Amino acid sequence: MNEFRLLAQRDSWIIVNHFLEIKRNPKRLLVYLLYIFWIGTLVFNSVIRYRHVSELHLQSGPQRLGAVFAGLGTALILFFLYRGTKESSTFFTMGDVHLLFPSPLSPKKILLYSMVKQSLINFLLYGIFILAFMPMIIDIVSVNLEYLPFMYLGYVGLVLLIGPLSFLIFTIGSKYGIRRRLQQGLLALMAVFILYLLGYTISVGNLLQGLLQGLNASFINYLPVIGWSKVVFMTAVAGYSPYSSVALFLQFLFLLGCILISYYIADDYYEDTLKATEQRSLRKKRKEGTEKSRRSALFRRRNLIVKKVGAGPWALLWRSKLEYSRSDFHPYLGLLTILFLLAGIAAGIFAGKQTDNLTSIYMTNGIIAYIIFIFSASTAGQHELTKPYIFLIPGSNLLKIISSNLLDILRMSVNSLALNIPLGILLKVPIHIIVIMVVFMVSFYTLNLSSNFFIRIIFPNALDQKALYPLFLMLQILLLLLPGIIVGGAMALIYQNPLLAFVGIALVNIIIIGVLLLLSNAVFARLEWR
Amino acid sequence: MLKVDHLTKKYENVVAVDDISFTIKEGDIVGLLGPNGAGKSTIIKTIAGLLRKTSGSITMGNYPHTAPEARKKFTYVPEVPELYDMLTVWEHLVFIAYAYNVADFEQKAERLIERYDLWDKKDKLAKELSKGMKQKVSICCALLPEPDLYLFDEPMIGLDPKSIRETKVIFKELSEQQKTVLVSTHLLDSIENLCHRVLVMKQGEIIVDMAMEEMKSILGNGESTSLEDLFLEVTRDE
Repeated sequence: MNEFRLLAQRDSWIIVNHFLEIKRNPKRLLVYLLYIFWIGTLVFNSVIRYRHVSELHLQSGPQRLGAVFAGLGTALILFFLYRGTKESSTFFTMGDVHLLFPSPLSPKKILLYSMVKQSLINFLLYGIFILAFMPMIIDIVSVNLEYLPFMYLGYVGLVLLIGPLSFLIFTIGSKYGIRRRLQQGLLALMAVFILYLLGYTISVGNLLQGLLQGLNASFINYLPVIGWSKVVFMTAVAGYSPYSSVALFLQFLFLLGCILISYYIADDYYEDTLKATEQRSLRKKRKEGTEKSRRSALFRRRNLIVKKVGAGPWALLWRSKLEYSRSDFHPYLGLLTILFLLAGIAAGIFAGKQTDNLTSIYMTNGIIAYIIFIFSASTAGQHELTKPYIFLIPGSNLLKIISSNLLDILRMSVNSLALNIPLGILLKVPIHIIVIMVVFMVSFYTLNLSSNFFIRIIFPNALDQKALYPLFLMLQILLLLLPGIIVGGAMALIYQNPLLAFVGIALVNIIIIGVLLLLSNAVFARLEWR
Repeated sequence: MLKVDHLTKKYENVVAVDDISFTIKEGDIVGLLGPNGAGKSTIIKTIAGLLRKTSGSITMGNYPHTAPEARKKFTYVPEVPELYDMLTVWEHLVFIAYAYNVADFEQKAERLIERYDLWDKKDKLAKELSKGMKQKVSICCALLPEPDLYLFDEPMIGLDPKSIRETKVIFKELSEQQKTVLVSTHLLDSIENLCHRVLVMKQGEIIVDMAMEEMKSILGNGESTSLEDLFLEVTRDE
């Protein structure tokens, strides 16, 4: 049988089996309907906003959106290209590794098929992200719905390139022994990019204006990949020109070129993709709860000595400290701390030019709390529940729950301080406001952590957790976010003080955390280790 | 059938396999033994083409091991069975039959899944199988194409006693059909009476390469010495 036909046949069986599974277990349909409903709410939210906020748009909106797209896009592409000089990306599963790789099928054809398949899947999947950000985009700029497909294709065209381009860079680097030179070239490109922005900022004399103008310079539109995708993305905002279609064509031609060049030069890639495929499989198992979940490690320190923090349940806290000491800068400090610090400094500098400093600090904390809420909803630290120790160690269940989550909460407190202290200093905000902001953010994080822990306890089956994720997210928004917002909003309105909104939200959050902890404690005793 | 010549495999600065050479002829069942981390899986994965050799050569028949002609000559059973989650047991076998171009595979496939007690699981998805069941499917997938060389990496791990026994019977049948088997295992008693020859590895090197009978006569006390005794003797730290 022709190789491509065989691989397509395998995938058609897989698709049919998915449908048969739904037929065998119609409850799954409910799960898919929930996903559709979730996506529908995102679209609905965008449409509602589209009708109501058009008159509120900032004049500099398109410039800001273009700058964010170009800046983030460049950083993303450079990061993945640089990573591509060190490790390969993968388009395979462990099933492919063990069944396909040793088979007589041509490695080139396996690669071509898998790359094209992955690109097609990603083409559809990545759309969810743009839907999620659509309300925010509509808030900033006026979007022409007629050219919305361009916005989608501009964004997807960029992210689709990441895998093939990264793979190609690795293959070229390995095959021709030029990995080091490629690394140096990419570092030089990064330096040029940073120096360019720096130069622009100095010439304009204002950081924000420098970045906005630098990232929207007309020559950027003609740069391969970044420029092309930016032009296509911004068509729905800036209007259509014939170059939009040309850029779209060039973008997808480039993607096709990457795939075809990989096909022609990659013939001995099995070992290169093995590590990435194993990691991918491990990530999948972590999502399914069959493997321990932890953040990716920055370091792998050995021979560590971490002092005892207590007996019984506190051994779980000691283990968390040990893991963070091994894999991060410090048990209480991580990469996120630096990002929060930089965000605090950047927000402080930007907001320093505004007249209302308090609004800036409220907005910064509100946005970051929202992002934490959305992104931590699916990744709470439930890894302890996948191991038997939390069930076996003597001690009260409540202490075990607290002990296994405490370090994450302390680390978030440090991160919150790293954000708010520079922000407070730069904006000359009174200290009590900084304290309230820190308590607000930590209460938000802890609320999510405890609610996720509670969900994990009620639904120990990781597949259920994954499948019911949209439902959980909706319930979390309704039951956890809304009470705080109502109480906080009411307090702010009654006393005409927006700070009280944060106080109200933090107070309600703390009450809900207490309730969730008590509920978790009650359910924990009846829990099984699976 | 299989010739490994001065094979070295390095992972960055770690030498996993250090300049080893051996030849296996048709009909031989060769046990690849050694303590954890000795380099057994690395050798098997390198022969299977999953890992790139640092130096040396591997040939099957007259072909380099990665040549398309060589790939038709062997199958591989990994230590940890990884299947396609959303394919059924039967679909795995059909897929392998198509990939290796096996003629009239249905009867062979049915016989294999019957021998491994998988008949009632034949329409189950791989994700619904236990680890032992997955291992059985993995073995069936390797046996179906009936190649000249079988590479087994710890095939007995996770199997129930009946399947271990069935695998041993199959090894014997393969040997009678002049097929070649290279099997890495820690379950020494399970291959003791099967292997014609053993390769014992330690720290990336082959420290013993001899026929079973020869090994017993040199190191042991004749019939009373088990493979386990011999293994512990040769791998003992000085």
